[in-house]
Amino acid sequence: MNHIFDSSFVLHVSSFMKKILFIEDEPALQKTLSSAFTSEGFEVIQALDGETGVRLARQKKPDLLLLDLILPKMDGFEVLRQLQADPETKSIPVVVLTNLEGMGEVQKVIELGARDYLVKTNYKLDELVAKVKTSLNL
Amino acid sequence: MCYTENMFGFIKDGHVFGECKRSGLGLWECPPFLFIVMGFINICAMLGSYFLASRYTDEPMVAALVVVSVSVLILVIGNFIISGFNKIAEANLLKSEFISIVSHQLRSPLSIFKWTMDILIKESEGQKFNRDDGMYLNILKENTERMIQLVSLLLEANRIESNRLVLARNPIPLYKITEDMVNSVIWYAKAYNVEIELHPLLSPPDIIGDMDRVKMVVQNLIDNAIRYSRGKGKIDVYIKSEGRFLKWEIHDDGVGIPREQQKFIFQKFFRSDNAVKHQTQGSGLGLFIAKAVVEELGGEIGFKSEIDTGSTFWFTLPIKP
Repeated sequence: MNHIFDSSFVLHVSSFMKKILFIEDEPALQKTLSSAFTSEGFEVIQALDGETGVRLARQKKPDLLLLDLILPKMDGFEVLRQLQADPETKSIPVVVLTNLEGMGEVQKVIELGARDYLVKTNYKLDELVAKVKTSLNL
Repeated sequence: MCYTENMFGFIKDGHVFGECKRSGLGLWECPPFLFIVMGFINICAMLGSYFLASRYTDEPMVAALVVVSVSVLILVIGNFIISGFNKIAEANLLKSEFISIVSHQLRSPLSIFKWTMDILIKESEGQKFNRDDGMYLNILKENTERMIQLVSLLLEANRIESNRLVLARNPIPLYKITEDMVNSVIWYAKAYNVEIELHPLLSPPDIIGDMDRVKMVVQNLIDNAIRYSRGKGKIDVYIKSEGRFLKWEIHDDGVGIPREQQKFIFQKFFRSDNAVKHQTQGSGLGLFIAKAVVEELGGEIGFKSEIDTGSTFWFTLPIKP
């Protein structure tokens, strides 16, 4: 899918780009979602497990975090807890993107400070991009 | 989870009732509770047989023997009963867990399908593919959507079965929801050669319910009316105020439901013979879920149907006070 985006174009607009950190262990999902967001002018940072996610959130200071709940090394709930406990990452809005949809999970995640809770199969890519833009007030 | 291992744990923690409820079992089907009951019965039987035995014999050995044999007999029979219930309870729990795991594991690749398809279709719209490719992609997309819906239905049915269905209670514009739904299926209905009409209601009040779930009920009833039409038919949807409730009603002149099968219609996975013959697709979960949702929200659901003449399905939901 990379042929759509000219690399010089990416470099050119990168300073205006909103940064999204996507924590998800499924490489295929990483790929599809990244390509959808980059084509909309976002920069996507990818993390394949919870620990890397927390580290990258501290290092790169993304504008928004997309977070899966079932993750290797550290699950999504713990990621949320650690980010909320750190004053430097506390203000980053987190949108949980998962296929778990028990009432318990939704409540727990919102209590832990997530901005939104989206069930993957219920959203088209376009709708997801629109949701993220609303969360970022774009 | 094995009940026998946890039995003493339940009793010690005083969680007997809670744990049974969570497993979706009634009190009298719940092994830890039955275990306690059997204990009491055994104590009573021992005391009873001791009194009886000491009345008829002066030999303490004989009395003790009677007590012990009665107690052992009850213990053995009780054990058989409880282990039977245990197996049922475990199977029930395993089944729920199985459906839940399968559904979640299926959803992951399905969301990948869905999003990859979104990208491909977007590219095909940019003329990167020829027209046939676009059509094939749409077929894939529609069928992915069907799988996703089926998995969602399975999960919902599973939640209902294990008493984990939690519904929101907000004011909802039922008339507007129905109107939007009817407008969105007009073409679909036309493909079945069916005309669908929503009869107007002046200043319709809101009802109290869960938006997504009520939408699902409305969609399911409309979808059934269209799919089980016999071609060249008419579907009428009425919404009326009835006291503190709104009554939603859909009338079709479709295949109907055979009288002897009507009592099963809200059962999980049930599909009537003529429905299966007429329309091979269908999970038999829609009406099961609809009934659970409507009743949980304090309403009622029902139908009248005659084979080869048509059906009328209705439900009521409380109007926002």
